[in-house]
Amino acid sequence: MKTINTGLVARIEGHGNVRIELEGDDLRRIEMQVVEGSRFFETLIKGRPWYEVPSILMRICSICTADHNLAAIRGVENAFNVEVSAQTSLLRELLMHGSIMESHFLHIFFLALPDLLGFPSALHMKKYYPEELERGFRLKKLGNDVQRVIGGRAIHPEKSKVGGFTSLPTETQLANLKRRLMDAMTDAKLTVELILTRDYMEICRDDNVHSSLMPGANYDYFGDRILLDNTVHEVSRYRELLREESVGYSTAKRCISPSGAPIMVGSIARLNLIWDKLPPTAKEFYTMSGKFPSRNPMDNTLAQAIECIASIERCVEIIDELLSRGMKNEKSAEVKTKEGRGIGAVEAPRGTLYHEFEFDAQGRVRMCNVITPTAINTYDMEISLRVLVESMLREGFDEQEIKKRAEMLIRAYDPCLSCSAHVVRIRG
Amino acid sequence: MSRIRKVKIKIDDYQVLADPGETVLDVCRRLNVHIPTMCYNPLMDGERPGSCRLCIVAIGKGDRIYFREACKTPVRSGLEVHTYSKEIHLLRRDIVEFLLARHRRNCWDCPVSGNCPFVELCRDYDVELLTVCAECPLHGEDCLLSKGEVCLGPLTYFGCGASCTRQGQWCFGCRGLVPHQDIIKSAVEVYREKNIPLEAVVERMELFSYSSEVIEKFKKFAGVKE
Repeated sequence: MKTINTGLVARIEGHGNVRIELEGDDLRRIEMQVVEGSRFFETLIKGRPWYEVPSILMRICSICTADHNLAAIRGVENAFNVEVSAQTSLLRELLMHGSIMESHFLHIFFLALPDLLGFPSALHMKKYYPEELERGFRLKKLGNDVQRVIGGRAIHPEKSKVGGFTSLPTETQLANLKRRLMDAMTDAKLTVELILTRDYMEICRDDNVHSSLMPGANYDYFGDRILLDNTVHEVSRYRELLREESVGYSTAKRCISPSGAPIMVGSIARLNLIWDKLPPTAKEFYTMSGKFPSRNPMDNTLAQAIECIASIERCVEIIDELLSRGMKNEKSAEVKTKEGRGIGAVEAPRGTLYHEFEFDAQGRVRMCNVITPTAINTYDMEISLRVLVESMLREGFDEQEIKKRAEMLIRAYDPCLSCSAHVVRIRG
Repeated sequence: MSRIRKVKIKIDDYQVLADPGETVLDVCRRLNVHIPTMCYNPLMDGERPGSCRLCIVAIGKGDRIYFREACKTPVRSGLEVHTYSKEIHLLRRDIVEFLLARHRRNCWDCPVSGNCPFVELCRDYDVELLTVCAECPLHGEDCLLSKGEVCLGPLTYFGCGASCTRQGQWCFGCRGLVPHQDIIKSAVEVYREKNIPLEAVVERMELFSYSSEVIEKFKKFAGVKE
């Protein structure tokens, strides 16, 4: 028996490795191991009052902070039946698009593009692709700046809280942001074109279930219904739809659909399921690429680039609407605590993120459950790895190449392994 | 009119010409050599109290080095001045600490509102005894404490630029609590003065510093029971 171990996969968020066991030329076992330490967030939030919940839970991640913040806020608001104003929901959508752009551009330019262009890291690209690298920095900064204007900080938005915002952006700030967003459109289009010129692996998966939230009229990242392939479910049933399991070799849980198939969430799943809601330019690129609907996880980078175009378009639309209404200096909605439970689901950059809380009558957390997108994706990643390694063994590739491509596949998923770690094992 | 003879002096090993009657601080200001000051104000021409002693510099060479206030030392021919060294840094640091010890630190009522020269000095000389309130622009009626919010500003290390309170969000104490007796005592006083329930403050402190000594001390001073 022979084992191939990739060691810690480089250029992903968090620590994880892939262990492949071979017997002769046959694959015996493949493990996607998440070796992050447990985070205990669901436990340490117990007993804390409701207004601290979003601030604590957004510190689960430092990339998609706004998403964790908004998911927690939505959970608390659902539990206490808080209604927010139209202006607040528009600002929240804007914050969300900022977070999506920041995370996607980070992955595209600095984590995935070196694979597509054949460099060991983004820094090595500087000599041959200086413009692309600069473009990446520019676009990521734009995503951060959207969050800075709406949320108050580039990460961990302190302004956004249950019921509304502590202070609002000025109209000048929004107008400046709109100008920069419109300038960034060319950069974003060039990004999609750059990815389309590159060839990458084809991994055909048809055994998994794609899932995302069902948005409203536009391609936004909030929703109260879950799409599981083409069936629609209420978000309150998420525990039945995502059966959580833990495995001994990994600190992350994994999710299995009711039919036993792995679930995939993220950009590809969203584009496959709700592509008809894309804004016009993004839809044009979606059809032009000719790759969608896709079952190939390697298309994730392309899907993210298309979503970024959609985000820029939506941001401009939202800012236009906000400016035409005029910014009203409104107070945040009043919260009356009561006993109850609430689920907040948002589409984070990497997929659907669920926060669920149960509060007592004083508004203190009695129970909390968080399912992060990467925790949903880990099982699907393992199956994809199995498909990849089996086909590579058939074609007789050597160990080095298998390691390299396995890492590339993991990176294409854009996992955020540190957020996914939940399991705690108690010895003794 | 006869030309005034210039005086040759050395500042940080550079040969400089100065007018007689100038002080070392004047020459340094003219040449953009940074020397921190608190009591010196160029608008009050001629008035030099020389009381803060922050402008201390090293004069002389070899074994014969004296520390003098730059604002009180007139130039003379052949003077050798060193404006920066490890010793000077430590001396100035001590001076900042002394100044701070005499300062009334009720920043929440201070009209300077976030542009405090002390904050800059403390940042430069690593003196850690200021709180978020020193950087926070809100004071008086605008202060979050006056609005009844449980803000941890009076207890938390400064250095973040008070980014949360500037946006209307109370301080979480994420930078850590200052374990200094005077600061904790004055914080207890301000919370009492603004009618903030001290139990609520303790609960909020537990968010980022669950088992810190500050909480124990705070409970002791505030008389909060478990």
